[in-house]
Amino acid sequence: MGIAAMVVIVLGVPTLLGLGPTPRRPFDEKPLRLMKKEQPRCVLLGDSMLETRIDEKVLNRVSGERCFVFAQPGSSSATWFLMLKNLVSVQTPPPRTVIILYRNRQLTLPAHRAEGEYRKSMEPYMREAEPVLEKLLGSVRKSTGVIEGLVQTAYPVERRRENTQDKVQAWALDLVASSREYEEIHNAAKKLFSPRNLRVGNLVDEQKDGGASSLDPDDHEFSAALDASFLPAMIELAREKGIRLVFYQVKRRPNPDGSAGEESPTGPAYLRALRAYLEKAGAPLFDETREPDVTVDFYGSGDHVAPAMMPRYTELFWQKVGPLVNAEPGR
Amino acid sequence: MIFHSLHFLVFLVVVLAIYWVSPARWRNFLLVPASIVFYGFVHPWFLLPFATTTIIDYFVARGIEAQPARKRALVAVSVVSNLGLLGVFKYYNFFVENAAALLTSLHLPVSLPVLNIVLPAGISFYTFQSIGYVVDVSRGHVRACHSFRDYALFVSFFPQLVAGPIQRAGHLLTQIQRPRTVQPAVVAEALVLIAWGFFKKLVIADNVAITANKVFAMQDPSFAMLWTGVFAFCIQIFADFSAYTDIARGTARLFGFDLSPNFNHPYLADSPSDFWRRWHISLSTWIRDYVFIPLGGSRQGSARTSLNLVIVFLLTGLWHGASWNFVLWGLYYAVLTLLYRAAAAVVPAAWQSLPGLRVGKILLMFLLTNLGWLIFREHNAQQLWRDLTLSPAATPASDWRVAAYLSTMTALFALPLVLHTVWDVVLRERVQRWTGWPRLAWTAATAVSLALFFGILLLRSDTSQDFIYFQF
Repeated sequence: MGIAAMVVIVLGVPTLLGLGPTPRRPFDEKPLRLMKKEQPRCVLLGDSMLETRIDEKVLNRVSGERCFVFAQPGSSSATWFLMLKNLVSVQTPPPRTVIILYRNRQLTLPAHRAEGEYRKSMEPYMREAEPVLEKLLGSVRKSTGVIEGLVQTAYPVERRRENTQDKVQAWALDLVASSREYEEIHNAAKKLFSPRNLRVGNLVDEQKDGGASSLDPDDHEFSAALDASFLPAMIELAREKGIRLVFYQVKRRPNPDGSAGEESPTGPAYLRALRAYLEKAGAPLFDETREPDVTVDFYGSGDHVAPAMMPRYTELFWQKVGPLVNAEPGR
Repeated sequence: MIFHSLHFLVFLVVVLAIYWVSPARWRNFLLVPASIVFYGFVHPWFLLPFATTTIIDYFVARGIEAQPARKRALVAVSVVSNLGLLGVFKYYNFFVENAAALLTSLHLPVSLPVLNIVLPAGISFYTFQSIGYVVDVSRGHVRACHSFRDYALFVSFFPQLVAGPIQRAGHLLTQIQRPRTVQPAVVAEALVLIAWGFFKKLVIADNVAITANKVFAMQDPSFAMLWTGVFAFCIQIFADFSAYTDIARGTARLFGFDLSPNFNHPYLADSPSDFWRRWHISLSTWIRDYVFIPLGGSRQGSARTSLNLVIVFLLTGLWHGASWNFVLWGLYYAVLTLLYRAAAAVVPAAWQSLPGLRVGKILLMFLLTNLGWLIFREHNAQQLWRDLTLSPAATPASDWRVAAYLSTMTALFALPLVLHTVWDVVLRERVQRWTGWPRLAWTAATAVSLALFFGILLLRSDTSQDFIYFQF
């Protein structure tokens, strides 16, 4: 009797906890309002590669345009698609140009940084229904093992757990600050732990994390991965809104002699196929990986540019990307 | 195989089921291959140094019993071979890197080969356990084990193989050699212990580790941020290591074994020596019995005692890892212990019994322990020096606010540890006296286990890490 009751509790309570609407972070209107106020002509999207490379003030100066740097460390193509769809393309008028900074094969890894904690940080850019996102992520999700699958079925409490974690954080904030100070503390924490403040060697290989995709992050073919990626949706959206999309592949930390770091043998073929596809779609691509002027001296921690080198890097960046941005579409 | 994996859960259920349906005489025989599967699950080659230690010490102990006149030489064979293996796997690179740096500084640059291998998990634990057995046999404290199966199980018993507690032959081997039974009340206690261990690991340690890891990844943390990280690490390392011990002890109980404890509320210590009576007890008592006392202990004058203390604390530090910060950490405790001894000699006895003094001493020791954890966690000497010279006045106001928020988060996750301490130190005995329960009743145990289980489901961290002591 006792054992039966225990089994019922162990199996039943989590199921009850998992019922009902799953809590989700609401859409964040702030960046939308900010962009509306600033009406940028050029928007840059990316992860920590962008955050640690481009100095917005310097970029405004060298480009002579109002630029908006929208960097989210730990983001990837799914988040950039959401930013483009829900923040950038809804502006009236929309910005003339959107530049996306990426590394390696991020553009064709739709599930990269799109699950777990990453998913939580994507939610502020998600509207109620995101059919394209769910369709693309659903098609590439790695199937779980038998045991994991059984456990997830028996204990559908994952979202409830995330919600509880949020509550603990909110409780801690309540104990030390008033509600109007929350944002200030969050921003200060975000700044403190931003990649530019980290020590060299303390970064995980972000290309490999969030590996919910069944694709090999380092060695998949472009043509095989294209349809399941966010690229076609981003290009279509940009075309609809008359936005010029520019892609910029950043150079990862080079070797001390300036040569490019380790590269997959299939890398050049992948890049050729990507470039051909983008050029056909009217979206230019700049590949920085072979640029000799981006030397190891620019780098701080891992693939990030050192804060002191950001102004110089931004100038170099615009020298390279400016002509692409200013070129007539189709040329 | 790691405890907080589904593989382990399945493994445990299967092994337990086969174990208890098997005839008693087959049970030890079953646990040896089970332990080998557990240990060699990820890296089968880990079994090679492990098997070498087991085989050598089994025959050395038999040799000591057969030829007592040669026991010193045989103990030396065991110690040299065991420490040799440990030295190759754990300390070789440390030695050659420092030797090369020294020679280079003397304008004699050399390039010495380094080993690019993974340190076998738990090598420091089973090496010390095995040496302890040989020494105990040589001292006549235990008889040499004549069954290789039983000895192999003593060294390999999977619950405690990777991160202790380090067992004595007189405690575990004798249990192995006896038939075992398990009572329902013991199962209930074991389940509570396991659930509490998993809660400490997955909810407390892994959640506070997020803050600790972030702070220790920062290039230039301010004073406030640094000590927020140290506080988080202080909670993390206790929750993490004691979690392993609890899961190990709970699992062992399900098989009818009682493993010796490893912790006794270490953050209630009021002096460095008290801390080491409460923290990693199996290591500190091992070093006391096999190193400190043979060196003469504290009975050969104050100078010799001081030297002995420095030796044992340096050894304790080095046991944790081949890195200068561990050496420094050991030295730090040696200096602290000597200072406390000196203070105890000059402070009048009447002062020492002042009311409230113990609380003050506990708080002081807690702060000193945190300073020790900073040395333990910070592997970079330059960074450590920078950390130690940080001024609170130079902390920006925004850092204080973030530090207050993160420290509060750490304190919230640490709250169950505080409640457990209050229960264990203040309430447990009174409740047991009042209710007349010598052990936790089955119902209470079930309720506690379920509460912990649901707590894990709802509060566990997203990012689970290996147990810290796996690296030692």
